[in-house]
Amino acid sequence: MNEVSSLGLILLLALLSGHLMRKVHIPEVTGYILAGMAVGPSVLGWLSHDNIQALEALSEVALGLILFSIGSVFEVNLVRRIGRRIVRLTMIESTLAAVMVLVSMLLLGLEWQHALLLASVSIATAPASTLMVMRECNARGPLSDALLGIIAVNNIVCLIVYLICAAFVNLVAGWGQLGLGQTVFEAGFPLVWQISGSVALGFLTGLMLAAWARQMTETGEMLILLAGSILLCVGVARILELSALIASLAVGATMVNLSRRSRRLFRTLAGTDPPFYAIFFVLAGADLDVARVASMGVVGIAYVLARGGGKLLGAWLGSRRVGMQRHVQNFLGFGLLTQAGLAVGLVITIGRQFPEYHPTISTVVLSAVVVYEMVGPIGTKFAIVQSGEARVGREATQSIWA
Amino acid sequence: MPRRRFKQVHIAAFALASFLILVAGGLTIRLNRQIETPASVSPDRLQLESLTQRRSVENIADYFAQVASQVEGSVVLLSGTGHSGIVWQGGEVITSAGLGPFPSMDRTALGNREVELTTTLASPRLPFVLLEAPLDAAVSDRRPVRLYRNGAWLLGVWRSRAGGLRYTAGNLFGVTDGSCGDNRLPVVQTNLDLRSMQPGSGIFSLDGGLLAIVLDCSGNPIAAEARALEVRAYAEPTLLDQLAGRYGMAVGSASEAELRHFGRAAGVLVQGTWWGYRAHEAGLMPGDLILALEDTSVESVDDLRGLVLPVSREVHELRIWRATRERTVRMLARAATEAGSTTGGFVGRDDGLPIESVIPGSLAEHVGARPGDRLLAVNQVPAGSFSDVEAAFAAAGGQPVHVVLERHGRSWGALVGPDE
Repeated sequence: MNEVSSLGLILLLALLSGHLMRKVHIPEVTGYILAGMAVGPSVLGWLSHDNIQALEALSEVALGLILFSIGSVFEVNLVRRIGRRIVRLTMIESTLAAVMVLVSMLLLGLEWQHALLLASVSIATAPASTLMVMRECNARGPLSDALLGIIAVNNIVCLIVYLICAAFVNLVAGWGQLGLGQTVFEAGFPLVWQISGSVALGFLTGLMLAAWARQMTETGEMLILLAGSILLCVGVARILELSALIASLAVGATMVNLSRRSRRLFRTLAGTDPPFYAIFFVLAGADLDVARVASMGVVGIAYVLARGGGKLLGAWLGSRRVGMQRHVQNFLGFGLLTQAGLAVGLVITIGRQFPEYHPTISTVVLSAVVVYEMVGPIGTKFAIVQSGEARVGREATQSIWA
Repeated sequence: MPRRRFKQVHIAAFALASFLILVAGGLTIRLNRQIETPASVSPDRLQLESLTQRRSVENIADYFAQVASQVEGSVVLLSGTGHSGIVWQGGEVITSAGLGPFPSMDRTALGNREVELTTTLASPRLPFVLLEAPLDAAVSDRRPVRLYRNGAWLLGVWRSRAGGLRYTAGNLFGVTDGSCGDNRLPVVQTNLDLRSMQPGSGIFSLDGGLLAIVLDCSGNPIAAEARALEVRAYAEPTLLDQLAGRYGMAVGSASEAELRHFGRAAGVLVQGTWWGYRAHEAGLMPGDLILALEDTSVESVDDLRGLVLPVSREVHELRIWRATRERTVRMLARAATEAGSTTGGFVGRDDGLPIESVIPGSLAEHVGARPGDRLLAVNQVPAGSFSDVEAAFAAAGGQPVHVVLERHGRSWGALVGPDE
């Protein structure tokens, strides 16, 4: 199948499976992912790896746009209002998930390096599928606000914790082999560079976007500007070995704080981007290797359970500590189970940085991702519906912040 | 809610700081990229990369090609043997020794001209060979393997028979003690397919350091650590090394049991010879007891020093004891071999009996014979047929028997029987 027809297939399948899923009250995202899995190379093989790679640029735009949207939670007033609570809550849920994974991995007899790296990866919650479910449910309310804030902060925390763990593992491994200065540089440079460089790149892109957006009057032009800026930002992040995730978040954060047109932009975006997202999730599903679930073993199962338990317990404990309403306390954790892009990105980074730990970690995380991509969106929808924040059918295409 | 206004000067300052951070970081990355390892080429990893929509910055294949082209200048094709060679020092090339003697000359193409290489160090005791030529090629930079972390990317680089550059990528799994023939050598463990590479190929790190050289050990390729080979190559040769290198023979003092078996009071025992070398051409065999060299009696290995002294003598005369009587053997003094020079370039041999199988628990198994080896002699009588062998064993009548075996061009003798 060529790329154009596979694109058509993807869009129509996404629509069909989304409708089917809605009938059985399962999030459309799960439908997209399932449809992708079905036609992907690991099951029916209608979409080949070549097709998937050829369409990667579209996924790239979609992921950039999703993170750009999430970046808008860093609006200064909003941050002042709920920022501190969100950060505390995120720290608690992340810490508990990581500690539970760390302890269970050590108890199962894994080396401390494996356990530490897995624990740092376990913090990540997938922003894209969470956001999609929230949009589908047109969710509004304290739980949705908290969820959105957490997925923005959580990914940054995950990246920082991973970089610290990696620096530590590197430091221990390199001790005595290279000079002290070289060891510290090799361990510390990625940490400092990925955070500061990504923020700097996102800020500069956001600044350009905000300045240019002032001249724009047409919605179409705005979208071209936005897509161009996001792609440029993601591309430059790749060249400079920065985190495209943090950079895209920073573009959104800069835009929302510096441009008066940002709300309109986000609203326009929400009205025009569904095809991108459909492509993104179908492709993500097609790339999941279903057969991996069979190979996850005791360690994989322990990872899934420990991370899930840590997220649920951490969200409950955290929201109690920061004084959230009871329904938020009870259901928030279910919204944090998803795990996808960042976790897989970290697995690739681990493969490059620590090839000796890669086989175990990739088997565990990739099989867990398949499970969480299935269960996670359902958990998120459950949390939103149970807390009474779903407003399905009303203003369905509106962005939740608009 | 009113939108908070930011001061223009703050925005400008933050923008400037961001710009400076990106420039400084970008430059640092550029400087460090040479020692970065790229992502794997395995389909699994490629699939992973597309899964996250984060394909690696570097185009992996291009990256490997770039590293291979960086070291290309120090990898040459030796057209006579078909081996690859690595430029070791200015004008000196190292390659793997093959089965049998290494030719005294080889050729390589350098640019458009053919260059003759002269073999300067070749010994059946060594699994590698050094050649010398007026090359002004790039010199490989030898690095100790311990500087590299397990899992680090490696590139095996060689030249095809047509002279084209070939390379393959793999990972480092550490260094272990290994051996090649009689040589104990540190062996670099990798997942590179050494069999697909030419003998004498180089294994390089991605920063262009030479870590190992692929040596052919009786048909089994190993990746010997380059630094260890360097030490071996330039170590002062012992008398035994010299005897092996010049004449292709291994000698040692005879044990009491051996002296008793041969019925002699003193002598130096020929323990092994390498096919195609001077000792083999002169007819020396494992099990021969050297009694005298140019009429001076030989009681210890040191007494054979006359064989390696720079003297004007063309031929050495050795008096040996073989099969109940003394004989005289004349051995050419020049080191080089002329194998094949009288047979139209075809090199082969017709003595000895091929061993097809070895009976478990038998004497043959006890001496380490394997199917494919050749049985050259029993009790110092050349084995022309298995009925000769049968007769020799019958004549021994339960006494110890001396057998000479050959494998991959090397022959060795062993005394076996009820007393051993």
